[in-house]
Amino acid sequence: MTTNAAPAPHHVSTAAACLHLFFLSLRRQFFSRHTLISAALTIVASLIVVGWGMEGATKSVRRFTEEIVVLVHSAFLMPIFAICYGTSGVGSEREDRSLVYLLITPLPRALVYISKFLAAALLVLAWTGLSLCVMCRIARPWGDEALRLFWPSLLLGGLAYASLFHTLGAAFRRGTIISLAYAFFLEGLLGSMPGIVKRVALSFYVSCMIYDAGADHGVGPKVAPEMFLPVRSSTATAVLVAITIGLAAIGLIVFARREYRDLS
Amino acid sequence: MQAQPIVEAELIGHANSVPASGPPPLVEFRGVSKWYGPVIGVNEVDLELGSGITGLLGANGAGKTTLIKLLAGQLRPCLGEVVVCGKRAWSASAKSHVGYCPDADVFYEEMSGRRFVLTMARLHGFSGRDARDRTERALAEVGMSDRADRRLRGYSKGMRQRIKLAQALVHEPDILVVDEPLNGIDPVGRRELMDLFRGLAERGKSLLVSSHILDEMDTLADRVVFMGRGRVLACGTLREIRDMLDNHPLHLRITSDRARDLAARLVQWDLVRGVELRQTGDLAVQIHRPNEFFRRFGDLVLDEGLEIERLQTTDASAGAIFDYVTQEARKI
Repeated sequence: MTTNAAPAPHHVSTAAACLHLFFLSLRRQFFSRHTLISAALTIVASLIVVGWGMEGATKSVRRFTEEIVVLVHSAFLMPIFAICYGTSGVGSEREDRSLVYLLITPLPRALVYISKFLAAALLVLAWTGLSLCVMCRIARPWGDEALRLFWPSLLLGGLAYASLFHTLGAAFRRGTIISLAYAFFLEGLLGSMPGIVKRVALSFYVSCMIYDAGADHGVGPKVAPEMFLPVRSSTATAVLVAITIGLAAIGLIVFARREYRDLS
Repeated sequence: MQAQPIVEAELIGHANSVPASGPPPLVEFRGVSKWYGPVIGVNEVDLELGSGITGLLGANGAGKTTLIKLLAGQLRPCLGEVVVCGKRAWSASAKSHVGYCPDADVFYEEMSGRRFVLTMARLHGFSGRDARDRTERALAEVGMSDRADRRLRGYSKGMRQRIKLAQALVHEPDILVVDEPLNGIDPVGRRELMDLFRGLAERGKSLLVSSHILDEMDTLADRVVFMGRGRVLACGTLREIRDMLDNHPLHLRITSDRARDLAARLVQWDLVRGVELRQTGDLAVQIHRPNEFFRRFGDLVLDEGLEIERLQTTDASAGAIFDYVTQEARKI
């Protein structure tokens, strides 16, 4: 072992540290089992689209939207991507206890949270967009039209889910299980409720945006509008943006104040 | 090693381990209590740490880890405050003064040791070149320069411990907090780590080293903090703490050419509680007020021309003192 002379005066940059954390999180999350899961699910979904295309029934933008975009992508793939990368943003590091190394740096916790959220959100958006592109390209020409119409609603939905699940990952030790229960139980239950109860479900606003954008092709809810009580696309957009920002703020506050006692 | 003057050492109460008129302490615990629901972690701790090595000793559940986490800014006190270089330990700015080496054996396992330390340097906000320089210095300091390019998951326990230390040193902190650093390390590695700690202390750093291996603290720590049931039971140098244990006379073993004569003289002293002449020819002596005893004993040896082959305390080790302190604490 050696003893070294004191270092020269140095400058530290919080922005550079945040940027490094962003790319570190991006790299670590990308090279993880979540990427394998996402890729596998995208392949399965693509095969479903291939099967849908080979089916004899008449094809249309409406059918593609209702049977593929809403059922396969919006209700299944998008939440899964968000759960994979959202809950693991903080949750995985908490689970394997490496989170301690982020909490001992002089980075404010709020910036740690934001850096990790942005990395997770980027991956969710990338997989949501990529899977939508692949599925729509397979189902040309109906898919091309669906992609043009629905990409904003699906990306915004993915972002809102990412924000929700990132918050759950920071707040709860078993964030993944809670997120899965929410996405595939509560969302389904609340989303099928009559009246305004369904408005607490994120999927409701994504659906409203899709139905509004696809109205010219006859895309709409399977139940009567009096039962579904849709909101306008602009309202749904505003709500999803507000939810994204609001949940990110809640997650940030939770993360900044929380003592993670189980890390060492 | 630079000796650290101690103003006071107290048993069962507030403890202070920095000079009264010296520089302000690097770390201050001011009336700190921490509860986990109904369970108490630490209770009304007042403690100041200056430069040098402080050993933090205590049984499992004594509050060592809670104290360390409070200092590292991982926990917030329920009462009181922990101040690091004038800043609250929980704040982000205080963390640039603290290097924390956690007990948990976790890393970004996919990285090499060098990459991991470099990553920590970058997360402290150092630019690429500065971070690389610091990484190399930290790796050299822990003796890992030539072994740091392997993946962390392939490292031995000792190598992982060194990399953990390197990441804690990479930003040149004023205070190094090390939780159980000698666990699972072979004797040679222990010696090297202890030398490293000494080197850091000589450079004016403050080290808080927790360990349940009490014997190592005899040689490593400038002073010790004994903890039990969430309280600081005693703080100071081992000798100071031992001197205050009036209920537990100091045990000496003396080997002399005239053991019988010496025993006859010693038994008359009021400082001496008991003398036993062993079959080996050694004297086993129990004394009070060691400082006074040793002064008088020196005079006696010179006056009488005694030849002393061995004068050894047998219960002044960290382990023995810890047992006594714990016994005293139980009485309260």
